[in-house]
Amino acid sequence: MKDTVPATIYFNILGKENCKKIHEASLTIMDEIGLQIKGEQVLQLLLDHGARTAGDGRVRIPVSLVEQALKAVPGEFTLFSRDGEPYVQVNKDNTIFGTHSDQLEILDPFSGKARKFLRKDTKLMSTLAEYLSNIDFVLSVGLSSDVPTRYQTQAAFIETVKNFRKPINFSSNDLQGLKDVLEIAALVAGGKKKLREKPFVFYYCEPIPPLSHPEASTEKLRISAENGIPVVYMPYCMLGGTAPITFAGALAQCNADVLTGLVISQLVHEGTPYIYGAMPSIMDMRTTVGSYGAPEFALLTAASSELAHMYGLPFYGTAGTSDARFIDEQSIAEVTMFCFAALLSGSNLVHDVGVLDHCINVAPEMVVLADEIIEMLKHFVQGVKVNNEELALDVIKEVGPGGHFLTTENTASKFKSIWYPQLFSRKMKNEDSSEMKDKIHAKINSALEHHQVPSLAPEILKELEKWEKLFNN
Amino acid sequence: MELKAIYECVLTGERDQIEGVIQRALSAGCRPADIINNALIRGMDEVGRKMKEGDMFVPEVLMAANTMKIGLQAVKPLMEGEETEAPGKIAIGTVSGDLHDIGKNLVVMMLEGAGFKVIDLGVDVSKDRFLQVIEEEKPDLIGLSALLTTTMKTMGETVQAIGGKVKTMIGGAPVTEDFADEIGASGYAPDAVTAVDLAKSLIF
Ligand code: B12
Repeated sequence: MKDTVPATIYFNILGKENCKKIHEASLTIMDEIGLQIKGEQVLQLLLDHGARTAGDGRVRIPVSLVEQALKAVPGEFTLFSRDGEPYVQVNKDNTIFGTHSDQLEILDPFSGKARKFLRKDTKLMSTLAEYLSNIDFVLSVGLSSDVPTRYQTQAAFIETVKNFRKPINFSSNDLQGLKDVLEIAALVAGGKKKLREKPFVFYYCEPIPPLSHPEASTEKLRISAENGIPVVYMPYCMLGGTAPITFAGALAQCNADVLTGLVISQLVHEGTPYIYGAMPSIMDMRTTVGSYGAPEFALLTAASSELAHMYGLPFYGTAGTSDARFIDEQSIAEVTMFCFAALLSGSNLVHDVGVLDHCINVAPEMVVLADEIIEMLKHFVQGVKVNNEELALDVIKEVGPGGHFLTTENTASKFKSIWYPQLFSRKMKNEDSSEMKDKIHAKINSALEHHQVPSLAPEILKELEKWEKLFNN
Repeated sequence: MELKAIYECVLTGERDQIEGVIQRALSAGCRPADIINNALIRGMDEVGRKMKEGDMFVPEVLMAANTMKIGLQAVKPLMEGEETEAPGKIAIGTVSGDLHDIGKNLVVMMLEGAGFKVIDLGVDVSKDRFLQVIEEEKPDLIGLSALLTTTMKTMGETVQAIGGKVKTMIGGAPVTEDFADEIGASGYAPDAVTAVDLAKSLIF
C-alpha cells in the first residue's frame, strides 16, 4: 500500500461555522431554487424518493434526501493496482497526485513545441507517471487526434492500462465509451465481479454549471454507481460566467451541484463510493478564459476540500496546472502555488498535474518538475515534531557553546530525514547556465529506457487486440 | 455634441441614460441615421477595440452592448423611408452533442451589441435544425460553436449540409482557421470581438 503524505499541518479557509453556512445555502438552492435534471430513470428515482417537480421544469431536492445520501455514502474505500493489489486507501486524510495519460495537445519534451496529442504519447505519459514516485494515478480522457472519435475513449484506456499499474481515473466522450471501458477493465481485472470488489479504475463525470444535470451526466453517474465503480462528479464553474462572482455564492452553488450528484449516486446504489470533486475557477473578464492558474481557483478549491471533509468525503482536487502554454516562470509559479494549496488543504485525489494552457495541453517536463515540487512541499507539510528526542537537549549539552554538530551520532543517524533534491541545484559553485532542462530530459529518457511496465498476461492482450482492431489503421 | 454624448453613453454602458440622451439628440435635430452610424455603431467599434487591447472587461463590454441595443430600439422606428444598411440576421448555435455554451453566449451578445439581429438556437443543435432555420428565417449568416473534437466532426458535417445556402462562421476553443478551410466554412474567429468583425466582413 502506498505511503501517502505524512502531513501534520493544514490550513482552514472557511472554518466550521462558514462551512455550515455554505452547506445551508446549498440546501436552499436544492430545495427552493431547484435544478435542471434530465434522464428519465434518474429523474423518476428522485421523484419516487421525495424530490419534486413544478411547472418550471426544475427539480427540487429536499434536505432529507441529502441527509440520507450522506449517511449511505462510504467515507473510505480502497483503490487497487492493475494487478489487484491494494494501492491506496482513499479517504479524507490521504493525499495523492495524478496527471493525464492523454490530452488535446502535448508539450513535446523533445521538440519543445505544443502539438496535437497522438496515441503513442499515451505510452510516454503512462510510463512516466508509473515511474515518478509522487504521481499515483492518471486520468485517461480519450483525446488522441489519430484515433477515430468513436474509439478515442477506448483507445486511450487500453494504451494506458498496458503501460500503467497504478489506479486509473477515466472519463468518456459518451455512454458507450463508459460501458466499453468497464468491459475492458473487467477483462484486465478478471471479471466484472473482481473489478467491483477490487476497483483499479474510477470514473470521472460532471454536471454543467450552473445547476444543470443533463441526461448524459446523470446516466454516467447511474451506470458507474450500478457497476459499483467509484465515481468523481465534479462541477467546473467559472465565477462571473457559470457561477456567481462572489466566492461564497460560487462555493454554495458548486456544493449544491456536487450534493445533487451524491444523492443520485446513492439512490441508484446505496453505499457506492462517491468522491467529492469541485473546480470553482474564475472567468478572466479580459480574455474570457476559464483560468487554470488563478489564485482564486486555488483558494476556492482548497475551500471546497474543507466542505468535502465536513461531509467526511474524500476530495478530488486540482493542482500543478497553469494558464501558460510553456514551461516558464509563470507556469512554474502557478503549478507550485496550487500544489502547495492542495497539500495544505488536505485534498485527497489531486488531478491535472502538468496540465498547461488552461487545460489544452499536458507537459511531461512539467510533470517531472511537479514531482520534485511535490516532494519538496511534502517536507514542508510534515510539520515540526516536539518531544524529548526531537528537542535533543542531550546533544545540545554534549556539543555545547561554540562546538559543532557534524560528528554527533544524532546528525549521523538523522541527516537523511532532511530533503535532498534530485533536480534542484545546491552546488557550492553553481554552473554558468541552468542545467535544469537537461536533468528533466535525462529523467524522462531514463523512465522510457529503464522503466518497462510488465506486460499484461497474453490472454488479456489477446482480448485487447480484438478491441484494438476496431481502431488500428 | 449630442452625437458625442451618445457615443460616450455606449462606451460607458449607461443603459438608463441612453434613451434620454438620444431624445435630446433628436430634439436638437440629429438625423436617426447619423445617430446609428456615427454614434452608436462607432461607440461599439471603440468598445471592440478597447476589449482587444485589454482596456475593457467583458462585463463592461456587455453593458455597452446592451446600451447599444436599447439605443437601436429607440431610433429604429424613426428610420422609415431613410436609407440604412440592413444590419443582417445571424442564427447561431452550439452543434449537436456539445453542451458548451458560455463562449457562444458571449458571441451572441456581442453580435447583438453590434446591431445584428441574432437568433440563438442554444446548445446541442442538430444539422436538421440548422437547415430548418435557414429555410424559415432566411438568415444572412450561420454561426456554429464547438468545443469538443467529437463535435468538430459534427460541425464539419453541418457546414457541409448547409453548403452554399448561406455563409457560415465557426468558433470554439479547439477550432482553428485551418479547420475552417478544411470543412469549407466561410470564416473563423478566435473570440467574440473578432466574431463581430468577421460577421461584418462576411455579410457586407
Ligand atoms: C468550461 C468548460 C466546460 C464546462 C462547460 C460549461 C458551459 N456551460 O459551457 C463543463 C464543465 C460543463 C465542460 C464539460 C465537458 N468538457 Co469542457 N471545457 C471547459 C473549458 C475549461 C473552458 C471552456 C470555456 O467555456 N471557455 C470560456 C469561453 C468563453 O471560451 P470559448 O468557449 O472558447 O469561446 C470563445 C471562443 O472560442 C469564441 N467562440 C466560441 N464559440 C464561437 C462560435 C462562433 C461562431 C465564433 C465565431 C466564435 C466562437 O468566442 C468565445 C468568446 O471569446 C475547456 C478548456 C479550454 N481551455 O477551452 C474545456 C474543454 C473544452 N472541455 C473538454 C471536455 C473533454 C469536456 C467533457 C467531454 C468532459 C467530460 N469527459 O465529461 C464535457 C463535455 C460536455 C458536453 N457534452 O459538451 C475538452 C475538449 C477536448 C476536445 N477538443 O475534445 C476541453 C478542451 C478541456 C480538455 N482539454 O480536456 N467543459
